[in-house]
Amino acid sequence: MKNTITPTQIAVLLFVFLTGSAIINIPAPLIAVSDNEAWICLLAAAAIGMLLLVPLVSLARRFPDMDFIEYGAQLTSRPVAVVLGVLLLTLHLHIVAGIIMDISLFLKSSMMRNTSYAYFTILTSLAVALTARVGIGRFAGMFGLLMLSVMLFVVFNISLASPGFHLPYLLPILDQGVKPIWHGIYYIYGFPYGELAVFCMILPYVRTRAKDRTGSKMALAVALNAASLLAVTLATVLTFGPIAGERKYSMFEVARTVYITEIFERLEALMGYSMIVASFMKATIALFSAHLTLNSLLRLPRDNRQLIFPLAFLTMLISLIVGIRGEAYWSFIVSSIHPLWVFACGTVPLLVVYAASLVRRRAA
Amino acid sequence: MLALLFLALIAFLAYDWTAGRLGGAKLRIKIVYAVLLLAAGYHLLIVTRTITAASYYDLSMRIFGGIAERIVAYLDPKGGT
Repeated sequence: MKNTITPTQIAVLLFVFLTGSAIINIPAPLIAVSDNEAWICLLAAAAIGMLLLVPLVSLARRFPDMDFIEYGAQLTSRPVAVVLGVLLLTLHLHIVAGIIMDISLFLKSSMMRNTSYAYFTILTSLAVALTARVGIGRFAGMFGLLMLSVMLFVVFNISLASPGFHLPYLLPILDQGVKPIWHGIYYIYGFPYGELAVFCMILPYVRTRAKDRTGSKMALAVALNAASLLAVTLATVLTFGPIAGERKYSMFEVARTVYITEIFERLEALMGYSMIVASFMKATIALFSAHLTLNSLLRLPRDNRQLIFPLAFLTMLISLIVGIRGEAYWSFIVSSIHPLWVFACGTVPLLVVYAASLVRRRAA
Repeated sequence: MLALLFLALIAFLAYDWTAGRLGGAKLRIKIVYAVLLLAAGYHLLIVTRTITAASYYDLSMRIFGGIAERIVAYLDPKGGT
């Protein structure tokens, strides 16, 4: 198959997808709901993410050249697979629109306050659509380097901010019982771990050989992601303490605290770059997966790319509407509705098909 | 903003029609292309405040909003939002 990727590239894409916008966005809202137990929630949600890899990879291994809808139709029936595929598509559209809106909100609130968010939304959507259109074989190679630069800047930021860390800020723990932990797990399961279900459409592109360990590499990607998010969350708590949950775009805010002589200051520009690039990459992967889902639902060739632009145009307009409805509306969608949406339209379809595969295997 | 939106739309269409060979595509693709553009057009009318109607996210609010509120209220240690 043309336009294939290697197991290492799929693991890199998974790391990019999971870490993408989460590395800048996750700490503040997670700390807001779970206080100093945020790191416990992260570890628990990462474990759930690891468990989700089991059905994802085992189905891909059992049906190597088929995507979720194709093997779903074999294991259940075509109508059931179409329904599950439509649910998955709704999630894809939401993820793309949400990430693009997130980039716009970040730019408007933190860097260019007098510019309408619409310009950021439209231009970002254009970039995402054009990149998705060139195909996964091309952008998978590029994203590895871009993500490396993002991670280097994040590590650089945390290192330079470390003199301002206060270890007592890690306490107290469990002062409000276990509900904050469950709340934190609910939130972070939705963003980003539950979202890895979208990879059920991308895995057919992986060119496997006999001893390729796609599953192990993807598990490593999830583990590295968990370590990264843990590091940024702890850095946020150690820097801001009780007000950590109020500092939106945490790594950006942590970077603003860095001042070492007159050489290392205004590092928030690096975090701005990291946020935009990482989110752009995640949006591209999600849009690409969305168009694969649509192609599969319509029984079109997998390499058909004619529907990418109208999909991108639709998600662009969905994003623009969020700006009209307001930030409180968006905040409720992201923090409360999104995890439920991911569960209902991402995790459940995957588990249904996996359960069907187990039943079929037992019957055979 | 509207000018930029229409420019993007025209650029997309022009590219898809020529380089993307949309003109010679299957009928299924053309129909879905048109449906997606119609859905986008509907949302454009909401963005420009020409109509007041439910958007994609309003639909998600209606489907998931109630349950999500109850879940978050239960998980809030202070007793609710």
